[in-house]
Amino acid sequence: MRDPERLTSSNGLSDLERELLEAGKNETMPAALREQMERALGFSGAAPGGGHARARVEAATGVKASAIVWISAGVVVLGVVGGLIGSLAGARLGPEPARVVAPAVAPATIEPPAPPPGAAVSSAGGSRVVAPLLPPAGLEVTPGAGAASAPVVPPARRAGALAAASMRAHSHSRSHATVSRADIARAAGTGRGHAASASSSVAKPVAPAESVSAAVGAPPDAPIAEAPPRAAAAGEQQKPSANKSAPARAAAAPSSDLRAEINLIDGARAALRAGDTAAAMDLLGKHAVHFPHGALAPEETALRVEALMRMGRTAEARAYARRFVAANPASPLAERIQRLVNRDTAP
Amino acid sequence: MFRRAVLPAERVEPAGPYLPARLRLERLFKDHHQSVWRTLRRRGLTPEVAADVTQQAFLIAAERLDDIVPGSERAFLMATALRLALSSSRRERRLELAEDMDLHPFRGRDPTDARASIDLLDSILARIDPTLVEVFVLFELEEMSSPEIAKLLEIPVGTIASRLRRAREAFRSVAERMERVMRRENQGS
Repeated sequence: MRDPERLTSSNGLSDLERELLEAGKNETMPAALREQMERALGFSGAAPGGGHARARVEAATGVKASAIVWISAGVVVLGVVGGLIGSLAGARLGPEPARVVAPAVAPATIEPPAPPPGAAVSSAGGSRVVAPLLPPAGLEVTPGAGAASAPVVPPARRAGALAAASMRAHSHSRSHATVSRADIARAAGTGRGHAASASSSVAKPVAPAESVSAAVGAPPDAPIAEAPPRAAAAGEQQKPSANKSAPARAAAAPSSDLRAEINLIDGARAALRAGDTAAAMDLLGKHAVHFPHGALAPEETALRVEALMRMGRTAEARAYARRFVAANPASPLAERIQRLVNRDTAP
Repeated sequence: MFRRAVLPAERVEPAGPYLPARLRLERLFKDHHQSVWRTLRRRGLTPEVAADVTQQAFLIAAERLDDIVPGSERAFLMATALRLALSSSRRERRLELAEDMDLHPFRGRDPTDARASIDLLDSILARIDPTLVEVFVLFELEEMSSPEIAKLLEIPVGTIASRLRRAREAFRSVAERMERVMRRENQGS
């Protein structure tokens, strides 16, 4: 099938129409937004921020930047001491070598590796937990499902995952992006903690010496999962420290549709158990939109029926149940769904 | 089917996986971020929100880099971004065609002002069925081929053709109507 001609290259277009289409074609992202995004994603071409530069150094050398900082601080201290000794020695000769000290001191002020703004990282040994941007309380994750979904990172995927981890490492610098991240984290349900631990297992760096929790008053509500030991596999040492990625990890995208589905369904189930039918319906709606033919569509229907029954919307619940049972008579869920509907019919 | 099972201990990390993946991503970003952002803008997102969603799409692309077939990068990014935009539910209110055309912002519009043209374009698109706009924008503005669009939206090529036809009709009729109103206003004043 051949493509039709584009409108803009056809005749019979009014000046206004042509002008509008051209304007739409040529719109470019404002430079400020682009730079912000490049910084957030950790690309070159962006003005290197502190964390960015550090990640690059680490990636290049495989050495923790903090170590470099300390080494350079040591060099500076040596320089200062040397300068002092020199100036002491020079003092006997004349006053001028004292000038050497001043420039030597200046770089020392760069030394403290300031944590990036908004970094809310709590680090305890290997497992790291993200506090902010987590889905609302009351939603919890079934550990079983999470455990099933977490370690599914095949080795071939790692290259991408590494890059993803390092991109996330920088994405916290877009502070206004937090709303959408929260949205998406929520949309993906509450398995986030597991997804996060999965990616942390990939992105796990050498043990961080720095990074003390800045997440004041926000206790991590994600289930803490031990990072699997394969994180320490050779070849993964060269990555930038993942402690910087923690805040952004809450927004980490699901690395597979199935995981996202599981997250949504688990979230909905947890919300339902917690009595929050509205949140459950919201998550189920998201599942329906994103995965209309998903692997967990039957579960979605079952939960929807349950939620509707609980909300007193029995007619809708029955309609869903009827349709489901008709379409999937052999499904193990059919019986359960039928029971859900019947339960409240019986006087 | 006959792939040899690889025991975990045997797994060999590809040499320096970090850099190529990273480079590929940077390349991806450089080539496509404008296109993705623009498409989101035409779906009614503000510049900032569109940038946000674009960033999110690239994060997902980074996660799934190995799943992205070379050559289909843009389609992957677009599809992801459009899905995200849909779920972000922060899309601006779509305007109804019946709604009074408030041309106030466009009165005395300077034709050389790209900003004003963009706003006018978006206000036209906001009056058209979003599913039509999607196809229209990808085809007319981002100049993707219909098979490419069909693949990324997961609908048949024939549907693309019919949506495109309807989208063009809608676009032209709304634009004409706006033009008429503006002309009348200019004469009136």
